[in-house]
Amino acid sequence: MDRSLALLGLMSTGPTHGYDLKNRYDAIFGAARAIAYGQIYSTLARMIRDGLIEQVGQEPGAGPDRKRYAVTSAGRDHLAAWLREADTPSPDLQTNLFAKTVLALLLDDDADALLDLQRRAHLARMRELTHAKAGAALLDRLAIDYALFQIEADLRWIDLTSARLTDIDEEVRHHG
Amino acid sequence: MRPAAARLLLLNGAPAYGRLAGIVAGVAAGTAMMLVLLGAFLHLPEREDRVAWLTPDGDYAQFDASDQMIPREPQSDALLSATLVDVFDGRTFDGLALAVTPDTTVTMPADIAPPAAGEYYASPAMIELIDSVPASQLGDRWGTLLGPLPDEMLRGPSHRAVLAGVDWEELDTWSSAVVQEEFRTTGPNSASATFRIVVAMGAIALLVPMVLLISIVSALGAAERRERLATVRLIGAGRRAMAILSGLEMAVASLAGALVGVGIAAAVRPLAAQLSINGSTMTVADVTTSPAWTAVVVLGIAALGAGTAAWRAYRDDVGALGATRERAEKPVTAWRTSTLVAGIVIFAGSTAAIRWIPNSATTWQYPLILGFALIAFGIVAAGPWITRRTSLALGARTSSAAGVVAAGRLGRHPRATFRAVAGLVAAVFIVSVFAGGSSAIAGESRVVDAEGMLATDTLVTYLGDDDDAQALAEAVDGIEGVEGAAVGWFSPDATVSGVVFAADDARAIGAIDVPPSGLVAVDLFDMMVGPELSGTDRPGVAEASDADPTALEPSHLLVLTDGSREAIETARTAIVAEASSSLAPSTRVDMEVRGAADVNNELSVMAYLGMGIAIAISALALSVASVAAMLERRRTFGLLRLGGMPVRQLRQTIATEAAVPLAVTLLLSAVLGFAVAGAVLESLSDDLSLQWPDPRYWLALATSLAVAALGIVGTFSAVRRSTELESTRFE
Amino acid sequence: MADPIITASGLTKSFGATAALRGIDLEVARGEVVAVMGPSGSGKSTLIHCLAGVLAPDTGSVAVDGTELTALSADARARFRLERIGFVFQFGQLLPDLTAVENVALPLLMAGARRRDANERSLQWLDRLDLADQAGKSPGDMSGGQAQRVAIARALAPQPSVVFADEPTGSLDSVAAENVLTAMLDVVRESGTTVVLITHDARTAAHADREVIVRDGLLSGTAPVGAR
Repeated sequence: MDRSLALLGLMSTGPTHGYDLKNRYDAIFGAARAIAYGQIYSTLARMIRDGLIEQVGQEPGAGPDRKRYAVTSAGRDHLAAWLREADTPSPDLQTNLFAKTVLALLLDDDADALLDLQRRAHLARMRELTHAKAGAALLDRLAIDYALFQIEADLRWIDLTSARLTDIDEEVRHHG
Repeated sequence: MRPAAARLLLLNGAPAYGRLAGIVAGVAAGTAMMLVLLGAFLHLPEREDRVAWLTPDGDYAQFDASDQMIPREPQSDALLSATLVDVFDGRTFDGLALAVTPDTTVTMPADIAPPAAGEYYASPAMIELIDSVPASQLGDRWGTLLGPLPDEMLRGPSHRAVLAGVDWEELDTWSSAVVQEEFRTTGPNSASATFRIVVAMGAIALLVPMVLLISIVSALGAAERRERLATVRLIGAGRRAMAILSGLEMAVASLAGALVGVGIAAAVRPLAAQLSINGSTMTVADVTTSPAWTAVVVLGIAALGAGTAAWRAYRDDVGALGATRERAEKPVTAWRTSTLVAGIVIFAGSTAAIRWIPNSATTWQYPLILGFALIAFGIVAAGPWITRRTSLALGARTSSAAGVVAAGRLGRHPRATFRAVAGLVAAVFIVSVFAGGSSAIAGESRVVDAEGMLATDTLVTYLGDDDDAQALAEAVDGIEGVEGAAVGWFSPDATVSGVVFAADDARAIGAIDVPPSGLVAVDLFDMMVGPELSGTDRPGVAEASDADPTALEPSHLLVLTDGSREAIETARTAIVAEASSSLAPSTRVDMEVRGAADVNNELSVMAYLGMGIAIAISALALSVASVAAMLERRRTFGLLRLGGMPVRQLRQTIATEAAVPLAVTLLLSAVLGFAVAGAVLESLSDDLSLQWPDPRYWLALATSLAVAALGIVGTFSAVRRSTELESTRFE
Repeated sequence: MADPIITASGLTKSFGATAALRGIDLEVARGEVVAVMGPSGSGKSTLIHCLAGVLAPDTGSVAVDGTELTALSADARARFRLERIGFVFQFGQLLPDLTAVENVALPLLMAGARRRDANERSLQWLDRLDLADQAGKSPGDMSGGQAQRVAIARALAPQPSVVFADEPTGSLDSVAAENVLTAMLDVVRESGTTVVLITHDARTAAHADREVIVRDGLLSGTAPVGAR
């Protein structure tokens, strides 16, 4: 999962502080590994450089925690493009898709459509593989079957997520 | 076996309770019917014993060398009696003329006081009849009424009987009078044997559909039940445990049913007693079984139910869990016809024995009943095999989808499909037996007026030796409605046969081709029975010699009436009171009545009542079985309907599945039924033969078919409903 | 679409207060194999019932091979299904008392074919599905895969315009499922029959030319703006 895009997504709900951002990130995506402050600030700095976010003010007091950031329109476009893009099957897919789904829910975007998009991409890939399998040698077919089962696992996860969107939505909003 | 497992097996939801309730109800009805019929069967001989006094059993008068009757002196230790053959307005009744000395030491039945000459006892039903008409028409025949005959001397409440006291010397002249030392106390076996056979046949006939209904009901929900049994097997119950459990379940259900049946039997006995057997309705006691017999029946039914269920459960390996598909039956083989064949052989053998070995009816009635039972059950046993053979032929030829589906089911489940119609098939067999039997009696010629025949309103009296013909003729002369009397004499010339009348009298009684005057000999027998029976072309009249009538010996007195009941019965009463004969004057109609009309009526009432019950049960069984067959396949039929199969074809399928076994076996049972009736008639009766059945039979057949059709049509709405889209939704 | 064999537009269908279909437009091309996917309760079943003429939609129209189904009576639709539509279900569609060839001949006989012709055609179809040696057996004596192939032969024998296959391999293991599906699609593609394959299994759906996903009574991707 691209953490910068996850952070960008979290910031899209409204201007926020770095400290707040870490807490929210950990609550939603931190199940596997919490994010370090250092990584937050280096990512923020990189996104400012790329014009995806901007500083919108500084509250009284010293330290990096007092700065507030907001997403620029370029940042929004970048985020939307990412959300609407199907991932190719890979071991990273789940975390990435998870992040996208959660962010879509947070941003009131169409999480269903997002999952459908991914489903279609996967099915198209499966269709290709199935087609290829028809004329393939037995050993190749075994390999193709392996790939098909991998994609099928993703699809099952997508179906499950899709079926539980409402519950996930509530949970995400609670943390958000 | 854990109690939880037992509960799982036995009582799981409404269908299980419905099934048990069905079994209890079926067993209850069957038990009730069986108890009543068994009661009647057991009490019939005893009932005949009660009326044994009506049957004289002694020595007839001796004749001396000159052919003169030797008078029998009055004795105090003997009784002189003769059967009274009499009739009133087409209704026959039993009667005994009795003479005892005033100081008699003979024990009277039921210890009644012996009637003196001119006194009589009558049964309550007879007294009612006597009181309902003027004494001159009936009551005056025997003199003064002493009182009612006690119940111990009667067949039942509607039994009409008379015990009339006659003067010894007068009775002695009656040719039918016999001397005996005491009254009979046991009735002749043959009197009850025929009716016992009839009752036993009826019992068997009604039990067949009953047993079938119970077996159909207990097969309800077989698929669910198999699934449940498989579950019980899976949690560790062995085959023995399953058998015991199933047996216990059935024992409890059938015991409960049998006990309810005892109650029902008690309730229906007064109704059943209203049935007339051998000339009278019965007393409630006559159709009541003793406590011992009742216990035997109840326990026997429970044991039979339990044993059958246990055996079935032991034999039926439920297989793997979830194997709930209806499985094909084991193939039926031609061996299934063996019961039928055995029944036919035994039945034919015993009827032949009764026919050709004299006085063997008592012995051979049991194999006869056995043969009948084997035939009745044999038809039901052979049905599946016949069904299967037919379905194979049908399946190979039909071009209709319904035909193919029905043939497939019939071929693979011949037992289940035939069971649905077996009740009706059994009913038709019984009805055919009774229809065949009663056809013989109904087929006898009706009494009608015809040229050359004795008028139907003319009374014929056979005169005894001491009777004064002129006095009798004068006695009836003034009676209103009596149009004349004619005396007939024995022919003085041995070469001329017939009864000799004056020519005018001969014309008056309807003889034809009578010479203008003089004496003529009339073939009175021909005139009474008609050319058909006498074998001559037409009643003959021959000129007799010119002898002086006053020198001739009178033989007959013919009384011409206007046909009114009053005239006939008053004239009859007048003659009975005077004449010395046990044979009351009778018209041609009365003679037919004395034939078998009453028996005929009794038999048809029993037959059609039995048939009604059997048809009702069978229609119920047919509907239940058809619906069950439908439900077993509801998913498949539902999916076929989804695929566009018209409901019409589905209904055709259900109808074909019932119609094929019905059609083939119905024919068989009708033919066999008639054959059985013919055989019984041949063996039990000398003068009756099988006739084409009367319209009631065809009506009964039509009713059976209509009821079958109704049973099928009744399932049509269930067919549609159970295969609606909702019952077979796409997953 | 160049030559649509199924054209459905604006389909809605409600059962009481529940809206099962909320406006579905769908076209299926002649000879196409389309997978219909969607979770339980999505309206997938109702959609298929409407497309096959089992149910009449509340509004909208369905045309199959030039016949406007919504204009037909229930009886006429049943007749249409009998002659022009084949069905394959997950299980339980074969009559256990009949042989394979009798089962296949059944819809032909229902449509009025003569016994001899029906038998001949049934045997041909069984042969095409590699079941020639099973023709005289009853379904109870066959494996699940063989029984499903008999069901497929039955659906195809009347040469329908469209075959609706509802989880045809749902009760089979993966190897048998794959074999049955391959056998069916080979025959179908060879004969140019249109197939609507209802499944929740992605690997089954992957055999189709394309898939449509039903969700909340709508085809996914066609949700009105702002609705979810």
